[in-house]
Amino acid sequence: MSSSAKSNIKIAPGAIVCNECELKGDISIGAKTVIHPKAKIVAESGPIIIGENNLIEEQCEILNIDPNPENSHNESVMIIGSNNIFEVGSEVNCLKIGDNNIVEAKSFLGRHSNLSNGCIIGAGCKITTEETMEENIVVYGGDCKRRKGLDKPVPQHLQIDFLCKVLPNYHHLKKSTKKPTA
Amino acid sequence: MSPFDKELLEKVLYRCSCGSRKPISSLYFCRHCLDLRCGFCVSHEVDSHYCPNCMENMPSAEARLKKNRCANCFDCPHCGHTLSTRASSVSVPSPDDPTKMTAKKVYYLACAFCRWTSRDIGLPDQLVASGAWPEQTNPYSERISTLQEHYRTIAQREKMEKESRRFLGRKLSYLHLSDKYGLSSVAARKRSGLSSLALGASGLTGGVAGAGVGREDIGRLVDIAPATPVSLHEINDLPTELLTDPIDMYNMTTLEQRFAQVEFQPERVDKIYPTHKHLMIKRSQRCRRCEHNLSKPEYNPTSIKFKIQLAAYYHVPEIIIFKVEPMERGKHTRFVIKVVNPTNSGSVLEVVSLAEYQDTKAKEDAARKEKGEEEKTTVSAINPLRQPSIVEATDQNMNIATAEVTLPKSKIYLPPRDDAAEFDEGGVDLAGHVDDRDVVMWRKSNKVGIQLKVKPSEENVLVAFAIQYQYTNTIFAHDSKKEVRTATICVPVFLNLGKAA
Repeated sequence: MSSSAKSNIKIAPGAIVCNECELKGDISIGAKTVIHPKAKIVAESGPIIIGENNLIEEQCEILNIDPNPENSHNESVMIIGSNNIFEVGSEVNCLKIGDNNIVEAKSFLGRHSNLSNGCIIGAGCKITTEETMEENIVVYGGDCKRRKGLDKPVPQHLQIDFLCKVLPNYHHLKKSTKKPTA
Repeated sequence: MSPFDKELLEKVLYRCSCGSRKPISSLYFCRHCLDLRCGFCVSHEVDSHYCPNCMENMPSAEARLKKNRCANCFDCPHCGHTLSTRASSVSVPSPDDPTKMTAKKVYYLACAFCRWTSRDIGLPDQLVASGAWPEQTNPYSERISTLQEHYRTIAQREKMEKESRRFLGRKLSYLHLSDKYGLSSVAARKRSGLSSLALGASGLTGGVAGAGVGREDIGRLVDIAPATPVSLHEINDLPTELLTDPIDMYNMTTLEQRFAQVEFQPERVDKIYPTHKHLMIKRSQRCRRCEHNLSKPEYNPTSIKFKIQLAAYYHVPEIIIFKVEPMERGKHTRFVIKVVNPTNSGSVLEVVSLAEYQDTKAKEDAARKEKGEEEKTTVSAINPLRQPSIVEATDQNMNIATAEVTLPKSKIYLPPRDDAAEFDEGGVDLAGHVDDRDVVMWRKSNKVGIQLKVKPSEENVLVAFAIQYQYTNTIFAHDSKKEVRTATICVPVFLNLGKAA
């Protein structure tokens, strides 16, 4: 039986979460994370914890939905680290994502794959294998060729700062719930 | 189903002059021979070289020097995509004041597809955006160039010997007088015992003293020594670590990556170098029989237009299968074809059977032979070494039709293409021709729907007939000497109507 959809959303101060995005379930969003409008985060079969400095773009779907709800009685927690970028149209179902990853446009991550740190999943690539990616792996091409990069991709601080300044001018934002520490 | 799918293209095929069946989009129409030409009946020539990335034109001599590669653009050695130059800021101590740090722009190459960067192989970032990238030097290039020089002198000497041997039959005294090849001076040097001079002079000793003498006196400034051989025992066997070490697949290069750099063929991924981008060519096509240009693109690489474009699509009526009723074997079924006239002049279309087409062709050939026109082996005006030729395959086209088709007896008028017709209200101007209501289904400016009947006998219904139409050569009209000529052209067409129940 899927958990009830009682929304429990904790937004840290400093996070920019647009009003038009769809948030369902138990979600916790870290500071300086930017969530664009039309993004969809659904925490149906367990909570989703999103770290800091992430960039979640339009039409991106972060789903914690168990396809066989009868089998698992435990709640599966989805943990996303910091400095990740989820580009437009990407769909993420996996439970563990580390830091500094880039999930490019229209890519797909299945439920059983996990990303460690510094991985880049190329545009349009579908990863459904049951594995944890090694660090700094680049997946590219129509047939998902792989390559080992030298080090993690550059974090996009400039872009996030710019969005923090510009998005409030054009969109309504959700209010942060945590009280800032005194 | 995209409109360029092979299935859709193969539905209507025209017979080219060589006998092969091609869709109208793959054919050219030679307006001097008044015949269709396909890719095999046409000679393809290189028009110009250009880089597909920076669109820079390059004259062919320069292209050959640079081994057909662009000077500015690079390909990613990992995936083959084009590399783009990216900038990043680095703070360096400013030259005026060593304690202050100023930001300076440094450039590196990056691939947008596989995210490879020039830093992956350790190439230092450059201060200039383009042109400063270091090239790998071939360790054998010196040896190869000295070998090339050596063989070049031998080849030159042999050529001189061949030339001088031709004159041996003539009077020797004349040669002595003219000193055309410097013979007298060389002969004098030989007699006095001095060493012969390099290159040209030494070649002539062969003419005077017989072949083979001059070759030992090389007298070259650089003496070529053969390469020192290495004993087989010194070369190591395959290292046994290959069998015991775990395989590191991420660091091994694939064969494609290796062959992209033929001179070095590195085995490890951190040794692959960005290669210069290959140039592309623009090609022009020429009719093989009359040597006239059929297709000539514009010189500008960014322009996709043509200076000369004699594609069949613009000169030959196009037949499109419009509607086919469900077919049953043995029963007469109707189908409608749409005929489009692409030219600016009206034409009268007549649908004839293939048997009639063969008869007329045979009569034409007989008439030509009677007139006495022999088959001359023509010499090409452009390149005297080439004999223009079109190879005709044995005609297998006459028996491939699997269904009988009932052809309309009447002639159908095809109005010319009129660009202003869409704004004109009013019917189609038939120029006095009367339409047969049974045959012509509908008309729309330069398009006609024609109804035919087919009686399938097999599952795959293939129908063959020939269309006969008029072609008016309006291009010559500008030249006042030649009047506008109208010719009747007959082309066999093959339609694939689909499957019969």
